[in-house]
Amino acid sequence: MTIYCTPNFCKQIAELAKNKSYASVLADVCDYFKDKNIHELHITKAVIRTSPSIYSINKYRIINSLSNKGKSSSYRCICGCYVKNDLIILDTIYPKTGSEGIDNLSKEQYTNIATSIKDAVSVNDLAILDIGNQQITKPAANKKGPHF
Amino acid sequence: MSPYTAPNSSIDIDKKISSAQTKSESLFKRELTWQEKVDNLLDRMNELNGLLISLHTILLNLTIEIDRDFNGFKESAIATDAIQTINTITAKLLRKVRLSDLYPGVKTTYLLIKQENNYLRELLSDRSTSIDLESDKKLAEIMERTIKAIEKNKSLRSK
Repeated sequence: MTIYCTPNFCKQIAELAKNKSYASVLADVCDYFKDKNIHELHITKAVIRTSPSIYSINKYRIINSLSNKGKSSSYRCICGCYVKNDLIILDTIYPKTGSEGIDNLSKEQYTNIATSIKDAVSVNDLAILDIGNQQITKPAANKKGPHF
Repeated sequence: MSPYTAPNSSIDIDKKISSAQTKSESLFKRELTWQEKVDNLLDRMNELNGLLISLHTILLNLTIEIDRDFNGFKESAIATDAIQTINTITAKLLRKVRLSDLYPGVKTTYLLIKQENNYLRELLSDRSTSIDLESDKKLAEIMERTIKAIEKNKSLRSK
C-alpha cells in the first residue's frame, strides 16, 4: 500500500510539529498506518463512499504518544482511500483537544477535503509518506509543491 | 446520729473521675465514628469506581464496534436511538458523580468516561454528517472526478 500526502496535509503536519505537545505527530501517523492494509482502512470509519465502493473518505483516530489522554482525545486524520490501486491519500489532520484542538468537521469541510484531494491528484502534487524512515518525501518525478 | 458522709474533697475526686471517664468514652466513641465514616467513604468510593470502570469498558467496546462498522451504525435507527440514550444517561450520571462527595476517589475513571462519552457524541454527529453527505451531488461528482484523476495519473497507476 502506498500512502500519499496532499500539500495541505504536509502543511498541517509541519504546523503541528512546531508545538511541543504534538511534536511526534509524524511518528504517530507512521505508527498508525504501519501494520494496516488498504481493505482494513477502507472499511474503518468511512464517512462517505462511492457506489460501487472503490473510493471512500475516511476518518481515523490516531493516538498522540505525547499525551496520556487516550484515544478519544487524539488526532483525527481524514483521507481518501482508493482500493483498486492500493493507495490512500492523507489530506487533513487535527488534534481533538488541546491548544490547537478542533471540534467536529462540517459538511462543507468534508467537501473541501474531497476537493483538495481531487486537485492534488489532478496536478500530481502528492508527496509520499515514508513509514520506515518516518518522513514525507517528494517523488523524483514530482518536484512541485512543499517538501517536508 | 447523722449518717456518715465522705469529705467534700473525696466526692469531688469521684465526680472528676466519673466525668473524665465519660469524656474519655465519648472521645473514644467519636474517634471510632470518624474512623467508621472514613471506612464507609472509601468503601463507597471503591464500589462506585468499580461500577464506573464497568461503564467505561462498555463505552469503549461500543465505540470500537461502531468504528469497525460505521456503515452498519449509519443504517441502524435502533442502534442510533440506543446510543443517543446511553450518551444522555452517561452525561447525567457524570454530572451527579461530579457533585458527589465520592468524586475525588473516582476522578480518573470519571475523566475516562467523559472522553469516551464525548467520542460517542462525535460518532453520532459524524453519522448525521455522513447521511447528509450521501445525498450531496456536488461531493459525489468530486469523488467521481478524483477516481478519474487517479486512473489518469500515471505515477499513481503504476503503483
